[in-house]
Amino acid sequence: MAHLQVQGLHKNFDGITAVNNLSFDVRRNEISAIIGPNGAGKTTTFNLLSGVLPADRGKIFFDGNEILGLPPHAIARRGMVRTFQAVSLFDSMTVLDNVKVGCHGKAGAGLFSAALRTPGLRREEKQITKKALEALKLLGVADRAGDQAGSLPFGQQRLVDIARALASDPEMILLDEPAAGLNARETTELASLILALKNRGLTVMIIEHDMELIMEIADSIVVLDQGIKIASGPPAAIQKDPRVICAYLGDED
Amino acid sequence: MTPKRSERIKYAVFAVLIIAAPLIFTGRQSYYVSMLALAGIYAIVALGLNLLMGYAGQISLGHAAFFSIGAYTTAILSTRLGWQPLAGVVPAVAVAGFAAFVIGLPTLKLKEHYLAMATLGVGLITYSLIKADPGGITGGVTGIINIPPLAIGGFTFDSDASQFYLIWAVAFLIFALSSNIIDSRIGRALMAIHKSEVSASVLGVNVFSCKLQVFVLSGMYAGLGGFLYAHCSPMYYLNPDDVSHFVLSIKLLTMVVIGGMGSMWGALLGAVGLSILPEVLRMLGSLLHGVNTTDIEMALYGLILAVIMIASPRQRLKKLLGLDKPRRVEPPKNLEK
Amino acid sequence: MFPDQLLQFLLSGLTIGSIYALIALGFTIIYNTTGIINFAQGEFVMLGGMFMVGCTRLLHLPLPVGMLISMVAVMVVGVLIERLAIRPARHKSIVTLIIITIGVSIALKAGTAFFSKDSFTYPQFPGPGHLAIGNASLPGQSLWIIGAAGCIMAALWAFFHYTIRGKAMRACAINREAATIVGIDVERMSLLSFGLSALIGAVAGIMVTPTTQMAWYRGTELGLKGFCAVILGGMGSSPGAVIGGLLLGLLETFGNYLFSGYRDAIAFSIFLLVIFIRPQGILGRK
Repeated sequence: MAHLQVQGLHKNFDGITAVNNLSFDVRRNEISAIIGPNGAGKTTTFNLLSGVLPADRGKIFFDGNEILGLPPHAIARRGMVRTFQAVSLFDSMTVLDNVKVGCHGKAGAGLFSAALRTPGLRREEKQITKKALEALKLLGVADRAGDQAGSLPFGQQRLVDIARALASDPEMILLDEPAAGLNARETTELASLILALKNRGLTVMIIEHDMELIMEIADSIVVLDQGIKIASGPPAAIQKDPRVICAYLGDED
Repeated sequence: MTPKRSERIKYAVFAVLIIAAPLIFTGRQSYYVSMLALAGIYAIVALGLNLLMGYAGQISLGHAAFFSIGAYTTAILSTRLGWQPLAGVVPAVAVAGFAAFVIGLPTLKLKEHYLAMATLGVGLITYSLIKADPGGITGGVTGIINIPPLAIGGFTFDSDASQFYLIWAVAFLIFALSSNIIDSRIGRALMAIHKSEVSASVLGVNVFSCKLQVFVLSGMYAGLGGFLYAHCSPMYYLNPDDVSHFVLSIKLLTMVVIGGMGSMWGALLGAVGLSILPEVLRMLGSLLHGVNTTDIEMALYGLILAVIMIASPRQRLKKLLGLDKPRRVEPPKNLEK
Repeated sequence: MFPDQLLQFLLSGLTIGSIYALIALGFTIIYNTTGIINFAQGEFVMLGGMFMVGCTRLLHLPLPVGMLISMVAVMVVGVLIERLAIRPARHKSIVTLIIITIGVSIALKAGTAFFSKDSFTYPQFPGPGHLAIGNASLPGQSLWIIGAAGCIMAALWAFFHYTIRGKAMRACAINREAATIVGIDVERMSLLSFGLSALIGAVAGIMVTPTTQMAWYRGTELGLKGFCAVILGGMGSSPGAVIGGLLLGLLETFGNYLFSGYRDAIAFSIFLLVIFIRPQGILGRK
């Protein structure tokens, strides 16, 4: 069974159809990309998948369970996390604390045990810290753990952002233009990082404009144009699809 | 994790000051002890309000309502129903917390304006209800007199110094508990919510539940403050103008703002500072006679709030002193044990 | 309830409702243009009443002159608030802006108390003493109130639909960013919105004074009622503000008959009920 199944997803904004009757599947442990020109509805799709926006109609199954209509935090707790196009770290907090927020859903300590610093809470805090440091290590920014997040250069902020999403040990991660604003070297590093995530067993869905990156790492691609899926399949097939070429380059006639 | 060294020094200074104050102000100056005891009560409420405003980024313009609910609950139980004064703490805190829950439930899902307006309304209505006294239990404008002092195991807290120590011991405890909360999963979630609710929620934070929890907690702190006030107030007397007036809500708000939102020590200092302010004004007022100091006090709160929020003098000062550099905390090591 | 009594309640409800509608319009104009909820809105109303009382009682100016001076003075206060308190903090968080406007509101209140802590009654404005409608009677002041509210609403409607400034303000309300892009001076619109709201608030304050007592502390309560009307009608909608105001006035008047003495609690219960059941209000969009 597909890890993520989207059926007939639909979203209108004031009469403009942002996502139109969209259906696609993402198989477990594959890297799937959503591409398309600006305004194609890619980010809106992510917003619908992660529960940030309510959909007008459609169905979303994650691991076989319907998740449409659940609040964002419940979707995150079920194992699907996301990043945003604009990195928004909690910049007055330390890098480590930022990533610890990512562990929120996996921990259960309430106000009471926090106030009293019960042994259970201390154990849990230790566990959270360990998890957070592991995530930072995976992204290669563990040495910045004690820094204020806002003081980091942009490229590292992006990595912390991804580490934060990964800290809860999700099954699937949605990355919204992770290469935007990165230089060539950082982009290459990002590519190998995403492949490493796949090797760890994660399912990855990615929105990206960098075609080279997509063709290199993606197992399957969904192409959107004006909210409609115009093609889907493996990268090699997408590259040759006339509808895709047309949408990207415009009609030559 | 144990608190850092600088924090430990601050705690030590705090404890020493508490122990020393009643020993310094004796005889004719013992009036200051009861004034500072009142400051301790406000500090407890301000700490809760700071959790709400400074950390979670929500705003209450009616905390006097929760304060007066706590005060009147225990006063009614101990004067009319003959409860042991100490036993009143549970219902006082619980009723105040429940009131906060009822207000928070519909408003905290919406933008910050709604909670601000709702609390403003609750503040005004609580005040007018206590004053109108429809149930015949609050004593209306005359208030409640002869509230018994607190007693624990044969010891009665009826002197200025004993009340001072009791109040500040509670304030110290609340301070420590609140610091623990800040440095926990919930505390981090609150700060995350303050920066971006959407970012926090996609990371698994139940934004609404966190906001509601901290609002109820701050209501409970206010109820606790009210409880202490009822049993330690001068003349053991409660009236609506002292505990539920809009000005008290604004005073509490100003304590948090002046101390710097999001700083526990700041809330503490703000509470002490503003509790001393009326006294300072009274001294100045005797110089410029005929001027009503209460009006000046209120105008000052308004100006302080507006000016601090517009000009952020704290940040400017930090910049001026070169203290605005990003801080770096040593990350914990040896977790593999 | 007899039909006559019902009619009487309807008339009183519409009178006080017109005042709430004006206050609600003041909130809406500023909110739509700047995204700010102005917690000092009630103080405009209080100042309007107090300036008018001051001009006619203290300076013995004729009523029309007193009204005019009061309106201009409150407008100046509104403009100054925007310049000195709002503009320097334009890009700060919602909480910061709430604290600023509440701070300004308290300073205005305390400033007024500094001059006078009295509650002022005021005779009704010149005109017929009562107007008999069936077996119910409408006090002359109600005619003034309903008339003034009607004029303001008509003038606002014309302003928003037929003048370039008014259209620009509507554009700001629809999409502030897009408005900037097409060259609308958003800062100027913000200033205009504060001036306009202050003016409307002043009119509400002037008109309501003869039916009630005006004093330094009345602003908070009147502002809160206006906000309840905004929520009831739907945040951001001008027709909603009017409908919300009138409806709140009616509900409050009927409610006051059923549970006498709890007028303020009624408005507030409606507020909580609305945000619980339908937070977008009657005309608001989700």
